[in-house]
This record gives sequence, structure tokens and C-alpha cells, in this order.
Amino acid sequence: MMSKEEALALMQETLDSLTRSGTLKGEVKAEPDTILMGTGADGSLDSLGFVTFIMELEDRLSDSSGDDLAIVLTDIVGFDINSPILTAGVLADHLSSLTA
Amino acid sequence: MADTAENIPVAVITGSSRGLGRAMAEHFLAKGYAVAGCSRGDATIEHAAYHHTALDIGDEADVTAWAKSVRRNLKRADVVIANAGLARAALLLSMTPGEVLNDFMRVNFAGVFYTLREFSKVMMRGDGGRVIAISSTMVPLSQDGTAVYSATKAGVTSMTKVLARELAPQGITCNVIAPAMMRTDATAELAKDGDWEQRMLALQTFPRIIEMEEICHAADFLVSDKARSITGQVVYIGVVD
Repeated sequence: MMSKEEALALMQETLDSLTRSGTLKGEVKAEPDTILMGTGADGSLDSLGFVTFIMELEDRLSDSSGDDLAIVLTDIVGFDINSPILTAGVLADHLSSLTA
Repeated sequence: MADTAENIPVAVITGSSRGLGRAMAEHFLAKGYAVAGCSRGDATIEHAAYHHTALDIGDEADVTAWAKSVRRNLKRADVVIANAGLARAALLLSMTPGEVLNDFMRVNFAGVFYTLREFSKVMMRGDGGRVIAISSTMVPLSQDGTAVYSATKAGVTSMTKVLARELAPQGITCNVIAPAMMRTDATAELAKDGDWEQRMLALQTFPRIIEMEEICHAADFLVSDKARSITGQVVYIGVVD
């Protein structure tokens, strides 16, 4: 099982990779309170950037776990599709549960 | 699914075992594309660059797994053609069972939604791309007995137009081809019903069977660089909207 800290580190690696490739407009810090999607989201992570981030994260998660894992937003505890705000901390908790 | 060289363009075509899907798959293979196709059953195309997956297009998990497989093995999706769909004889709306509604919504609408959702993500990782959804001239013709079919195809058109706006920043175009009557297994079945074929042809601006080759030519243009600024459009073939 991946710890929350390990999940945040994986997210940071993913974000840094996307920044280096020019997919993201600037650096994004994967800290627990960082808003990845919704009101208050980091300006470097637009909607298309968010989709790309999730796909890249899925690939890295699958590679590290050896399982073909998918991140489905509606499966995330603490994420409300009707008021969609996703923080890095909530996503990290979900990644931990996916790898449990 | 075998890997393919990363420099070969990949066309993803749903419903590629027969009818228009098969014709388009063979057309893109002849153009030098690798083709990832799907249908409920086994492959009907034998070609080194053809990669078939048997799945239920209305099943979200099936389509998601297929897109992942294409992304992992073929690495890219340059062209996506959402073609799979039902075309069956139906009743007047007042007599149409809910089961028919559900079948059409599942395959014609949800199937296209899952296809476009999953493969647009694959496409976003590349350098542009072309999405083509297959609709029907039954949408503007509003013919008796096509309430559910036409509604699902109208939904496909609206969905594709929204996607066109969403993917424009990525250099991806999304268009619709809406052909009039073609000679397919489905229309052959419908044509067994007396004068159905003649009645349908009489509604068309060009009252003749549309050849699949004509649709492939329209697709050729939409996937070409010449059409890089054309997005969110519907190309009707055989009728005036």
C-alpha cells in the first residue's frame, strides 16, 4: 500500500514531468491543500492540463503497483461531483486506497 | 494486441466488422494507417496492421479497457471514428417500447460518449488529431418511426460539437459525417419491408444509395491537413439539411 506521502511524491513527480514537457504552464506543488480541480485551482493546471495529469498519474501508478489502475473521480471519498473541488491531499488518500 | 511502430498513424474505428466501419477500416489500412477496430464479435479483416478487440461498445468498462490497450500498445490515436451504432426498424413513438429506447441510448449514444471520452484522452497526448462521429440524415429529415434513432444521432452531433470546442486548444478537430442511405446489413434488413427503401430514397436530395467510398472520401478530407481549421461541422451526404 502506498502511503499518503508516497502518493504526494508520485503526484509531484508527475506534475514536474508535465511542467518540463510544457504541458503545464508553470510549476504546481503537490501539497495536501493544493487545489487541483475546481474553484481556486492552481492557474497552471487548466482543465486539459488536469486531464493529462490524471492520465499520466494513472500510468505511473500502474507502473509502480504492477496493476492496471484507473482513477475515477466519482470513486474518490471526499469528492462531490456536484461541487467539484479536488485537493492533492484527497487525491493522495485515494491513491493510497487504490493500492491497498 | 501487438505493438506497432510509433511513426505509423493510428486510426481507431468502432463497429469495424461490417458495413461502413469495415469499409472505413479497409480504407485507412490502404492509406497506410494502423487500425484499431472493435465489434461485438471476431475480426472480419485480416491485415498485419489491423488490431481487433471484441467488446460491447455500450459497456463503459469495455471501452475504457480498450482505449488503455490501444494507448499502451499502439501508443497513439491520430484519427477516431465513432461509427458503431444500431439501425433497426422501429415503431411510431407512441408504440415504441422502453427497451428499444434503452438499446439505442446504450449503443448509439453512450457508446459514442465512451469512445470519444476515452480516445480524446489518448489523442490529447499527441500532436493534434481528428475525431469523426457518424450520424445520419434522419436527424434533419425527422421521419416517422425514427424518434429514438434520430434523437440518439442528434445527441451525437451535439456531443461532437461540444467536444470540438473543448479540444480545439489541442489542435484536435471534431466533425460529424451524416450519410443518407447506404447498402449495409441493417438497411438490407429494413429493405425487406415492402417499399421502405424507395420511400427513404425519395426523401433524399440525391435519391440513390450512397456508396461507402463517398463517405471515405469525406473522411479523407476531414482528416487531412487542409481541414485543420474545420471543426464542429456536420457533413451531410445525399441530402440538403
